[in-house]
Amino acid sequence: MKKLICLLVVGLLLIGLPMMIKSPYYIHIFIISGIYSILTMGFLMQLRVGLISLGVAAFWGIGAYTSAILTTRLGFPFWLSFSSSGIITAVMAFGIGFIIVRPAGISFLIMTLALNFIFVHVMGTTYVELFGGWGGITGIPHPTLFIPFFGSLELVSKNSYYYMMLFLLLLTIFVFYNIYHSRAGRAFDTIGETPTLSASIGINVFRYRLVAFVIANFFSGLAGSFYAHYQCFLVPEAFDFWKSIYLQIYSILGGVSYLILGPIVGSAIATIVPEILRFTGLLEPIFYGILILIFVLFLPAGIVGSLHSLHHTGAYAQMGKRIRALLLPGMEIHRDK
Amino acid sequence: MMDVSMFLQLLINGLVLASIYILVASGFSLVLGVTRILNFAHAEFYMLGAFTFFAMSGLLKLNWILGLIVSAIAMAALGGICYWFIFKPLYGSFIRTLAASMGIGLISVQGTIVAFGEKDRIMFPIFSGSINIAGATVSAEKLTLCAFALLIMLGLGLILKTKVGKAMYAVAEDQEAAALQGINVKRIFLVAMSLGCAMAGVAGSLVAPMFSVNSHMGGAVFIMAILTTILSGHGSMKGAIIIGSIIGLIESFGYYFMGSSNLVLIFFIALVIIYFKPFGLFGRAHQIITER
Repeated sequence: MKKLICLLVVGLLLIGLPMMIKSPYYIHIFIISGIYSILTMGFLMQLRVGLISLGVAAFWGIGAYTSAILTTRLGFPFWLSFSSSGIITAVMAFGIGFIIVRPAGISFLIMTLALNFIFVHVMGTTYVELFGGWGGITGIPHPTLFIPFFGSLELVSKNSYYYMMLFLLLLTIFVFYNIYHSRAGRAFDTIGETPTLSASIGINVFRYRLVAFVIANFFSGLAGSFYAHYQCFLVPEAFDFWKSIYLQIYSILGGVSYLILGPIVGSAIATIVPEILRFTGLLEPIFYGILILIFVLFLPAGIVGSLHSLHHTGAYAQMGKRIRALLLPGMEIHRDK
Repeated sequence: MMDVSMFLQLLINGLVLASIYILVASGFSLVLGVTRILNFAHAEFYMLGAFTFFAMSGLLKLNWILGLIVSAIAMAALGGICYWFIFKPLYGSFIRTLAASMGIGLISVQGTIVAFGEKDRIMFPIFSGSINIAGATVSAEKLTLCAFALLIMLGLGLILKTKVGKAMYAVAEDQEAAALQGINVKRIFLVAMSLGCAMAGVAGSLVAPMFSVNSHMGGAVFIMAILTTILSGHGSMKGAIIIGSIIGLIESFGYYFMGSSNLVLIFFIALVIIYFKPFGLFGRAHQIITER
């Protein structure tokens, strides 16, 4: 019951957010952090099965470029290009993953990193008429929503994009939550802990790893398509390998073992902190690096994990008791009896 | 069809790239194999080495050999400090050390931007002049770089032959067994880290007079160096030299024949090698555990 009320309140808050925040700039920050949380969830799904992917941004970029090329060069409608970009990204992830998922470990990490670097380089320098070169692709159309008896409606405002992002995020959370709470999710847990043991009890490690890789990158592709239609222009540098590294950092900020809440909190913090640190100008990434070092050295469980362990040790209950004792002396004793 | 002089130019360019990749890759591989840290900041040590050399020999007009030594020592010290204060407390957790090295990378890239500015820094060439080989002019500088790389690799081979080097092999093989033999594992980690970072610094300083120095010079070299590492299998110096040379030559000749798609060719070759030899062509088939 308590959980349901919590969920209801959070849902209402998320839906009502654009009414409360009038500034389109803050809505933009929410949309970007939503996209990053989808990508970070994908990263964590791969980490769950023991694959450290530093190429999430490459698949994000593949989705974005697919969608951009399909709509600008071939004139596809948005919804078709949106779904097909997810599918094409998943197919490419399957093709590459079939080779690089098998060795896993360091080879997987380095090959995904190399893929990301080479993707940006290829997008920037080859087939300039198709990929747009370093200047990128411009003029990507806004999505249009067709409502029966009403006609088509072009989604331009930030608020409509916010709701679309919310829909995509909830879809991702729904799918990921169900995967984690199914047979496959339990297999993921085992593989992440000990691949050798899980192979010995009959789990096909390679197949489950490949499934995780493809599903995670399918959602990265969808997020990329959404990003392309939100920004309306694409440059290759938006997908360079530092983005993939930032995604890993977001996941550590949130807490690596919190597969759904961690990415959301981590990417929200990570998109808000630079806004606070903006006054530092050029020094901003240095503060960022120091923040990561502090987290890695002193708060390895991340923000969610630290709050969770505080909850478990009873620190919250203690604090609540103290506050109640301060505000309402005498009441506390009755309740304790 | 190309003539002999073009061929020689491409060959020497490929060898220059190869020697950079070999130097960076063998340092990276040393750190990865011995300490089990995937040091993402290795590229940044290469870049910082180039900047140190630029500051010493370019701005302060020091003798270039002195500049090289200062750069190597500074990078070794920096690597040792990073190991002792950041990586040592995180011992045993792969993903946390990875994230920490990324933090160090961020700080050093942005630190150099703050200190030296974002524009390319160009310093005067040390060896001006060229040598005629079979009617083709080859700049002396490139040949010197290749010779230096060979010399440093020989030096690394000699270091690995000493007692410390053997201890490194032992630690890379089995840390607990090495500790039982009376090897101070943490100290060997420190030595390996310093040595690897010093090699990155030397590679950066050798490159500094030839190409421009900027804060983003590490990225491309690092990608090729780590590809060299996994394709050769970490822990194999011979493999690093052979694969590094092949990658450098493919990059140089591929650029002549197919433009920027040469990186795609390298990636596909890497995929094929990974498919048939998942742990590299020359390395022993042991895997570094990356699980939590």
